[in-house]
Amino acid sequence: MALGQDTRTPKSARRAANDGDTMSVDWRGFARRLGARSYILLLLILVMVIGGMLSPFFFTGRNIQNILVTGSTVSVLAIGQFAVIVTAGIDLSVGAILALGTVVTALLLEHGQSTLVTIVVCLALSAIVGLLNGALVVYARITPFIATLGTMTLLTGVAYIVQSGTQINITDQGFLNAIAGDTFGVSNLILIFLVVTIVSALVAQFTPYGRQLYAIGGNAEAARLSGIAVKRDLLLAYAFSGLMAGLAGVMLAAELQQGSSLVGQGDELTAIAAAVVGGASLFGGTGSPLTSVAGGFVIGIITNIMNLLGIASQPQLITQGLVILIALYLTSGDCPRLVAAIGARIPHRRSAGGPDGAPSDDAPKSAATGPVERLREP
Amino acid sequence: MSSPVTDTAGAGVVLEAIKISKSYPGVRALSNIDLSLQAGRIHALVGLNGAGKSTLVKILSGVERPDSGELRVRGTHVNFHGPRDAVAAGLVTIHQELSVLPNLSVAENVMLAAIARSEIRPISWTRIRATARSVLARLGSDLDVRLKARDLSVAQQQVVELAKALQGKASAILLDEPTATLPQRDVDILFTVMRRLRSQGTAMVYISHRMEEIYEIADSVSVLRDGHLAGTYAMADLPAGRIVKEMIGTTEVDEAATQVDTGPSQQRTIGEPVLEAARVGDGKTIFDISLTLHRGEMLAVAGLVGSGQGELSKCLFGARKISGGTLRVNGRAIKRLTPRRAIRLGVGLLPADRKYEGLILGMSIRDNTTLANHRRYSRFGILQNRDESRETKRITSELRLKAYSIAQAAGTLSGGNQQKVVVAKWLVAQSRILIFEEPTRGIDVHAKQEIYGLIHDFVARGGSAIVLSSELSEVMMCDRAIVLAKGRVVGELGHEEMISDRNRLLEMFA
Repeated sequence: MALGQDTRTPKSARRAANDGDTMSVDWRGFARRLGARSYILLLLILVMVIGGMLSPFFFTGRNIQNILVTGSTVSVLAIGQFAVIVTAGIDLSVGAILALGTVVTALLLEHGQSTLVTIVVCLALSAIVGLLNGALVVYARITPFIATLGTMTLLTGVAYIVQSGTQINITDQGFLNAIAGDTFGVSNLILIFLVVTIVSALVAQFTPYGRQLYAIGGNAEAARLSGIAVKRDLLLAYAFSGLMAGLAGVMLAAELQQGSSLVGQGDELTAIAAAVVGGASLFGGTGSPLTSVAGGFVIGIITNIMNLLGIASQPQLITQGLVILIALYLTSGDCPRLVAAIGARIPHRRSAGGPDGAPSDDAPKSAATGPVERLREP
Repeated sequence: MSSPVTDTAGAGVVLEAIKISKSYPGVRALSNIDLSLQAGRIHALVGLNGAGKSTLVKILSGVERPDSGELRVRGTHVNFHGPRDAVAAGLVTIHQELSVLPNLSVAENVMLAAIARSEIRPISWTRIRATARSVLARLGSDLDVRLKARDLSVAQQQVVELAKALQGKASAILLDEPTATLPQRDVDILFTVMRRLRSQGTAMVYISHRMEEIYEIADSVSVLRDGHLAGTYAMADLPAGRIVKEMIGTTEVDEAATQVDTGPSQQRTIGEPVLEAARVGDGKTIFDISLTLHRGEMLAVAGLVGSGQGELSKCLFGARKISGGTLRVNGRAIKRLTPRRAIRLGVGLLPADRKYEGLILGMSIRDNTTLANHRRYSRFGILQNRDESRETKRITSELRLKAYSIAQAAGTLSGGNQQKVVVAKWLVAQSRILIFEEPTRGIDVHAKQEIYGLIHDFVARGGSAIVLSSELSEVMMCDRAIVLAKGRVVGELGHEEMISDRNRLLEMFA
């Protein structure tokens, strides 16, 4: 039985093929694997090179620190978002949880609570809200988009009421130093984000839980029939996303030295864009926390470059939108298939059949797998 | 094509398929199929799963193009480049999943094509309703045309689809398993409409797994077996049971018989009961099923599609709720069985639908293999990738799985190799009881033998297996067979009985 000379392995397949356990040397497979992983890194380097060329200030320590600090909250949000997206879900409420997080943090500090209590309460609250999202998805069976859209609106209102007035300023130096201060000359915000990134990357790659999230996103029914506790895992994923949003809230409160129900608007979309630019498919099962962070930085650095160049905010939005679309087209759109199809047609034209050799009238899941699924039941 | 039924070419032959062949990589789905449809006749198309029915339907409905052979509509050669071409030629397919638009009214659904054509002109709703009403009347239906399609029963929706086809001047209609989702009493509604259509000169292809329906409604029948045309018969001179025999085929039976003689079933010792079901039912499709599987035994659950095998296998694995009866695993009664618990108890399910239920296609062979037993490969909550890889390599090479790397995505494998990955998953999970649902569906002949070998090996090592199958050869290689029909057990045969009295088994099947 022919294994198929598929040069058109889809992204999902390439993601799976990420460890070096080849039975024989297979350079094409090797290149493919390298390509999948390094695409986002290449993009990141490319963006940085362009930044260096366009502005002399780009590679200054101050600007780098600036990029990293701005990127730290986005990255934390993106990591939480990724945990949900990899299960084929989505969490629109993270921006609102972040806003609520800043308000709760500021309020507790204003009432004289200690730094530790403040942080613990804020994180626990966010995780519970995330758990609520998960319960709506798992038990009430509301689609993730709608469920989290509902909690987003609800939480925005709650944050506004809790705040009761204008923003609350934070004057607790202990808290500010703990979160936004420096350790060995590096901002604690950056350190927090680095720790979160490394830990989640390890969890995704090396723990049963991480593997199970990929499995659920890849095929929830097959995962269930393999004995995976799908409901529990999904609840945890949403709770984790909430927790990360709360952490981002604490970080942002320290950075801005205030709590405000107005921050975080649209941040959920930035987080989704980061994960998706980093190669996570909204259909689930692909991507990684690391590439999600990298995706966030691609967007962040482009914004930074435009700021350095003094570009007005309206054209900035247009550029950002275009960058997201192009990046998506390169990874999850039809582009890889298109390139493969063109490549396949140039040397030897297929004599029979339509433009695509494989019939594509199968169920949607299989359509997502793309042309690899050549062997079909007659 | 709006030409009336009376035509000069080919005395009432509406559609002819001549020597149609179609291959997919690794599988020859159809070879040299001839089919001829007469006006005012209902022609049944039957065959086991994988016999090529759905491929033929796809070709006739323009979804796929044949590799060779030609289609003629009223004697004229046609080339379908898509479903639209087939419809334009007067060939309408009514799929199992109906295509009525739920939010539109009956009238709108029936008149959809006409409405779409009159682009700018104001639409006359009175005329549309009147026309729709008259089309439905031709089918003997007095459905209220203002009802929304979503409020209709499945049978009524089918009538709407048929009316739509009639309105589109269809001269031939393909009905792909229209009764599969239909309650028994509604089958009569459909048949009444089909008879009216027949008397008005429409040619029909009728696909069904239910033999009594075919004897009731069809004028002639074509039997497909393994992509070949096993024969075309007029229903009038066909004794009962003949169709099933043709579907299953005698050559295959002989092959199976010889194979079983050399099989290890004789040397095995059958031990204590490991899986028992007592009067198990799900309240919908299976009823009162009792069976006992012993250690070291291969138990077949035989039955055609729709007999409830799929549901039974899911119930035994805890993936489908049972409404009555008890399940015992290793002698212990299990109250609420879930897949998770079943796996802990050493039960594994190999679903017929490997792609959507058995595997995670985007994941690697290794990750699929260890999926059901992460505990075994984690130390302090960390997956030991090295151990996983070593074990996967060992098991997959033992199963002679062909892949260039265990990092290869499961979706890139052939059917036989995919099934081996599922087997590997349960071996890793240390399952002692495996439930194979149609274990070789969509798998080529050579790989089939390998899969049979795997099942034999598993049982020879003290495991137990249930094989739910509609293929006679698979049933006959087992130690014992329970025959299922319409969700109930209708018979039980020992191995010797199956071999010596093959006809009895065949009759039970039908």
